[in-house]
Amino acid sequence: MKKEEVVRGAEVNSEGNRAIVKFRISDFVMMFVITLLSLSCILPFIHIAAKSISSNNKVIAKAVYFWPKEATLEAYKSIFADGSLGKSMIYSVIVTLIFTALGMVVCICGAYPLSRVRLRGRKWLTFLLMVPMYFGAGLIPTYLLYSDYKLLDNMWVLILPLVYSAYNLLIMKTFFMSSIPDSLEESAFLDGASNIQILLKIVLPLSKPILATISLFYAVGRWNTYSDNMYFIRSEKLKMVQYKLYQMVASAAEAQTTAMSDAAAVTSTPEVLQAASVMFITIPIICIYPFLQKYFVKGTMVGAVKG
Amino acid sequence: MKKFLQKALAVALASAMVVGMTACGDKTGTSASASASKTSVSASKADDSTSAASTEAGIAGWTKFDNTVDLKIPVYDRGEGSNGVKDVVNNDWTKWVQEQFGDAWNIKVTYVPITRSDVLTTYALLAADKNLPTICAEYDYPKMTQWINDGYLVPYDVEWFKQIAPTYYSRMENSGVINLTNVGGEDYLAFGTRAYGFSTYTWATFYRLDWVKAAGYDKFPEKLSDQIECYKKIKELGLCEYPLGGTRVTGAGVDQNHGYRDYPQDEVLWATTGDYNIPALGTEAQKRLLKVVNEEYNLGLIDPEFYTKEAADAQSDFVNGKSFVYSCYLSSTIAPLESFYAENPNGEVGLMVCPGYVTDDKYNWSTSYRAGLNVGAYVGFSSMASDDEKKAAAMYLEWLAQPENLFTFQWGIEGKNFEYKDGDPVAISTEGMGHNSNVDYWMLVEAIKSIGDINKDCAAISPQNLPVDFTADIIANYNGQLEVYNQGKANVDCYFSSAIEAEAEYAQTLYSKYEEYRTQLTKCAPEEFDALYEELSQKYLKDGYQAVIDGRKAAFEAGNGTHLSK
Repeated sequence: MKKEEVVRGAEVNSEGNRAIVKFRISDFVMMFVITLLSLSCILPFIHIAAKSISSNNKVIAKAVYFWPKEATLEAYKSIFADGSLGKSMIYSVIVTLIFTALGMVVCICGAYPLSRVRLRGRKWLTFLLMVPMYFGAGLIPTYLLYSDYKLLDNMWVLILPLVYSAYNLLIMKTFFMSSIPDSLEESAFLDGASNIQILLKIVLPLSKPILATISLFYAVGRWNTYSDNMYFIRSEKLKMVQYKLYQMVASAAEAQTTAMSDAAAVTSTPEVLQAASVMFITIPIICIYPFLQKYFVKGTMVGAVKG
Repeated sequence: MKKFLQKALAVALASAMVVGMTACGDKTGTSASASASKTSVSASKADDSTSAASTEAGIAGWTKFDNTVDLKIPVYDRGEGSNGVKDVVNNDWTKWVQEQFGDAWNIKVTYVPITRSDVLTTYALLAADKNLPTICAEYDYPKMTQWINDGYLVPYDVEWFKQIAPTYYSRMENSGVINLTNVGGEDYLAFGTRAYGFSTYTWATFYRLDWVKAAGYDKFPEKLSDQIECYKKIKELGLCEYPLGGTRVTGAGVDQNHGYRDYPQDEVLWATTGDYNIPALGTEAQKRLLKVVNEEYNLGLIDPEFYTKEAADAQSDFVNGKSFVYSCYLSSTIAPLESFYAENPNGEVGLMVCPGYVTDDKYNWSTSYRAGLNVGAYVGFSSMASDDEKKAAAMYLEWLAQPENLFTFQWGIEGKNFEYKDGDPVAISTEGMGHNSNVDYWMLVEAIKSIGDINKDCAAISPQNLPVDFTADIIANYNGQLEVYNQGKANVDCYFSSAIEAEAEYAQTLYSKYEEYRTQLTKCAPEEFDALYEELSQKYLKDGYQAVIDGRKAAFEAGNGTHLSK
């Protein structure tokens, strides 16, 4: 006779084969809440997708909800014919890749020494490195600083200022401290390894999960940030695709609210084209996101470990 | 020793980053203090030139610069580079300017993109970096006075300007408001012109003509009391649940109370509360306006959820037959109207026409409106520009004001962008013309494209590809407004030549408060309106409106404001 035990409402047999034979109200509530949360993310996306392939008349009439009406691909044809969004997309990918690579170098170089007990004054150094998390200089001083460094209207202004991230450094440092024992290093020292060799041949190979997670944080952070484009980039060709999208939407909103002002009447991007642009920019991320999602979860867990 | 080196390496790795951060901190600290101080103002007026000056005015008197002069011209970046609009600082038109103007006079013309949705921040950053464009330009006069106050602009010698740019200057003179150049006793501003500036004929309100006919009228009633009766009948007939729709307060210029003012206006009241940006809650005119809105609400003519609705909702309500009116700028293509006819093939749309000066004693109402000036964009010379650069800027304005250059910029290439019909240009395609036929470039000279004949200009902005031709109504509306204006019942706002600090400080707060108070006043019971208006007016004054009124009064009494035209 099989020994039965009940674990949180599910009956589990002694061989470990779990089978839910009871369905409690709490399960239903949880599923309901999760479904609602999921829908709150998915439905707006479906709405935008439906608008992007509907006729402008139907979109203006707000007749499109979750299913396209008078379906047409004209907006997408327009985007591909123009080509500038495609170029911006490639440019944005390049910036993101360079940013991620440099960010990882900086993060590793900062986190590793700070995670070692043998580094004197590491608490003081860590404190100093955390300061930018809480205090910023403000827009104009930052602008002047970049101007002095000749970074304005330059691709590198999108890369260099943000490659140091105190938050990422803290997470990585915590991981190194909790996962790489000092004894491992000591044995490597005894074998004649240098600091660089220990870092490259022992620490990093053992830290692949955190490397993947932090890389993802860097990449997604860069991909989603557009405010620096707004203030520090002027050339159209140097603007990342997210900022172009922001400008498009902001311009349309402005045209709608600028009633009877002194400014001249201006046309704005039709809503259909806006929706198609949103889809064009979002779909690549949506496609790769499921494959990267597990690293986000890991990152959350690592960050939760006390440092 | 080896251990020491290892530790040193570890310290170095971490310290390198700290040093970098510290360096940033020092630098930004210095910058912060630098930015706190005002931008230095060039001591010299824009009146000297290193180039040989000729006595002949205008282009004939210009000489080519010996050394290349950098000229930086601001242009709005509306961020629609992916919508068939080319890069605003590098396109066929900017190259054309360089070839036709820059190369001829040894001037390197560079366009500086100004983020349209954040003009003040963009200019503030450029000024902090001492990298302002050679000229600063904006449609809003208060922004120009603020820039003068902040030291961005320098005064210029009018005679110097007339010598270099006589065509541009004569356009300014012909506008009838040449005194606007003078701010605080010195000539700081030049400006582009605006044809028919007194009128708002490019802005139109469309309405459901079929509903008006069903309610027993042949056209939209002229008097307010008749209009309200018309709305009530439309509702009674079940044609529309909430004929007036309604939206939350959206954008500047809401609830303009010109139709509820007493004429002739009291000049101090006009100067202190008659502006466009801050709603005049607390004035008798605003009380009359809001009382009418309250009545309309309590009659069920306004959607009870109006305070949650945006402008886009009002648009879709009209398209879907849920609202009586829709207002917008006129252009040859008005997408919501096209959508309306597609969704309502049997619907009839009319355009509200100003019938001239009509009054309605029941509501102390008239057809008065807010008149504008014949002014487009204001232009000022940067305090950071050299004398040669300022001269090049004046030359650019003059070159742009030449009829042949202006025409090409506005209409494009014959056969591609326009063709002649009965001797007049007619736009056939805006391909490659950017926003509204390059307006962001030629706004320095003219705000709207004009053929010079109001009938033809009205025809040019009449929406096309619709079952109805609105041209006659647009012309009639213009003529009606002209009549009101000529009777002195449409006044221009007061222009202050000194910055009113309280406006900058409280405008946003008052805007938010007005939205809140207006909703309360709209929704309250009619018998509670007067008491509530009094209570909220007092709050509004305390919220900052009293400070704004005091600031304006002081400026007006100090002679820093324009006077009411008689």
